Amino acid sequence: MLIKLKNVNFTYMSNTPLAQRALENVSLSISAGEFVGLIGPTGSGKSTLVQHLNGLLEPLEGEVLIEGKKIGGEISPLLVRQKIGLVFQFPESQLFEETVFKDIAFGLRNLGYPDDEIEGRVRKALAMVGLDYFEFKDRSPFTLSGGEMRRVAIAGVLAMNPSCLVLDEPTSGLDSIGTREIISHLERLNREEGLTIILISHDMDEVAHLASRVIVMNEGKIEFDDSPRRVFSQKSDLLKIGLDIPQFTSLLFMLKEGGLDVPLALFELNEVKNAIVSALERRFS
Amino acid sequence: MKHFFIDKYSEIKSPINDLNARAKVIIFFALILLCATTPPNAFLAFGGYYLILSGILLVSKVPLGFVLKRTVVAAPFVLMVTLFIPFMEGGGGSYNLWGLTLHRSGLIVLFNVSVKAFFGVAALTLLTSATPFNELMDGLKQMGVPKIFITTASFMYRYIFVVVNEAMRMKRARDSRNFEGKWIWQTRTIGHMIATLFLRSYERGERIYSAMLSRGYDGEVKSLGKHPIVFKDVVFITLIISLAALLRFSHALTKLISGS
Amino acid sequence: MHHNKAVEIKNLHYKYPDGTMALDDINITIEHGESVALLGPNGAGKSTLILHLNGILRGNGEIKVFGLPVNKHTLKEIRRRVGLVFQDPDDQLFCPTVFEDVAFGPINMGLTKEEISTRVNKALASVELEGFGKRSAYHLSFGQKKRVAIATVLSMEPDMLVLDEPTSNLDPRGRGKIIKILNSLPVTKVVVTHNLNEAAKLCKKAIIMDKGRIVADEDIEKVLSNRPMLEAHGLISS
Repeated sequence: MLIKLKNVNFTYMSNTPLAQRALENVSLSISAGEFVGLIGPTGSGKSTLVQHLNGLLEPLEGEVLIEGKKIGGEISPLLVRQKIGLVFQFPESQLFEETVFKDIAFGLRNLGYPDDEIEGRVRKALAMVGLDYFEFKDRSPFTLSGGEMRRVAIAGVLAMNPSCLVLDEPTSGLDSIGTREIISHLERLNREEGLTIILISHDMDEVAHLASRVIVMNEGKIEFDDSPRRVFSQKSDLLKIGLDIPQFTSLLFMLKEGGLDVPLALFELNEVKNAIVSALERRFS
Repeated sequence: MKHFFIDKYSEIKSPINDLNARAKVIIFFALILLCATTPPNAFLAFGGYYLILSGILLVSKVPLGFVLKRTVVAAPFVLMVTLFIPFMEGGGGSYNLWGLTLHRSGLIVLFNVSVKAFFGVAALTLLTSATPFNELMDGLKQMGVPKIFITTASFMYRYIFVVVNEAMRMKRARDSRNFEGKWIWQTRTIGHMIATLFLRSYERGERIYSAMLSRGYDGEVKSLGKHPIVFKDVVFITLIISLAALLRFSHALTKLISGS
Repeated sequence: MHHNKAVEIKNLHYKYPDGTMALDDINITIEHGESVALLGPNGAGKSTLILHLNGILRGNGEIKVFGLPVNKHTLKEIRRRVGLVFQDPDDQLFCPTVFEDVAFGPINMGLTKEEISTRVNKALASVELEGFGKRSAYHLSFGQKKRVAIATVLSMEPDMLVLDEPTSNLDPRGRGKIIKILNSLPVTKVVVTHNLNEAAKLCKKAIIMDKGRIVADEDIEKVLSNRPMLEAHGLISS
């Protein structure tokens, strides 16, 4: 098991009158190679949860295990941060070096890698996000487009060779080209390189399309943890906590309410089309 | 991300919070002035001032611990200046303490400076804790403090959290990439981060300015001239100041009365 | 109203200080009461264009807003009638309290105290934030800040709202709320967005920009059903 949380509780500013419970008895396991979508309304504890995964926050109660080892006790936060790579929201605003190369090399230099190995890894990381090494290495991050900056930021985390990549709304604010570029690289990294990915998103279509498992958080607790098909069938529960369902699912719900016998939780254009066509055929045959 | 700054407790409802900001500024500055001009050996008067302040603190519902913590911050500065004075030659006799000679006049100076400095800091802490920041600014503006100071302070209050948040996000991202800050080249990173932060604040400044222009800003921040001083404020000002003045001048008064 | 055009722009050009052509021969007309989506990839010039609508930026060409040419003398009137809502609410909320932020425009307009507080309350009510006047912006959630930012221009009772990415970075409930609020406001609207679904929910017309030029300007249904064009300008991916 790559990641395991056992009864994790966390409260911001505990022992003050302003204490704010952020995680309540959260338990979950994530195996290597999974693609997990993490959804929940603002303030539901998603960001707090992922900061526990790489030891930026320590649970007040309970424990976080990475590859079976407890963070803090059996495995140092430094090693954990190398294994679990976190890409924060608007990561491009966290680029601070003069050149793309230096920014991607930042984590590696912190770990004390020799120069030639750093170069190889930077090259590989840039390739993983689809940017040409020679074209980009000497450019200043400030001269890149939004989508390029974000891919450089992701490359900076990938260069550490993590076993798991955690991304907090990696496509928010990007146009559809930028979004597509990021999404296709995430898909490929998961499928071809076997990288475990945890994706936080407010975009239900994106999550339904990408994730093989969806975790829904609400008020610091895990509300659902299941396949996208099962989770997104819970329309009323999701709407109640302020979430949504994917557009296609929404359409299928409407058709079903209108009396057409279609399955509900389909997320791909072709599946949806075929399902509607065959439902119509059944009806009019 | 959460943090608290000047007016952590300024939302607490209390009779003190309800007072006009100008009234509070007048009261606290009068108290500080009276305390600062009190002769060093008027021990009773000092006791009285602290009693008045404790009374206000009690009514204001601001936690004592919070004010104490803030006040203690001033301690090193006060002590640095005054701690050696008792060892210097002066009049009024001396005491022996484990072989060290302490001079009475110096001890009085130490007491005098510390008691006044702590009173001042505690009074200001209480003032800012029991007054919402914007009311305090309005009050100061109405009392004639130049607008440029008010505008600067207001922007600082508004944006310090935004900048701190940006810095914290950057720090968090940096720490996630195994930054330990123990190599010399890593200090350059900190330099870059500060530069980036500066650049971004500058850009934000331009956007804020556009936003202000879009809403008819013409170079002067205007505000509604609200918050008149009411009867209750006058009562409070009179009560506290006359009480403190009585303490301050009791010595002279007794002299005056016994002399006549 | 003898003038039914909200915006008329003819041959507008704008160059960045570094020489890059940000707006290249822009010609558009927006009718009074229309709601228009301004679409296009990052860097297409959308934000630059909207900053021209109230005279923050001045390029070469002719711009008329509600029949008034944008110049030094009309600036005050135009800025009152055009409410610009920025993408990052932290740029728009610069006062110590929500009340003061929402009152900022009306105060600059020289209204009376009573009028100001009526307008502030009305504006806060229309973004469903009654009673938030005393709070300070940093105590609000991101979604609340976005709504206060809208209120700060509503209090000037503008005839046109120009919004840069009004729903970006919000959770579904927050997005739904903003859309509902915007649809309830009977003014001319220009909405910059990346989200085609939201554009369709908010607007009747769409203008597409790419590389500083206008490449489409028609009914939103027509624009959204023209797949090759959407693909060509990076609005959907193939």
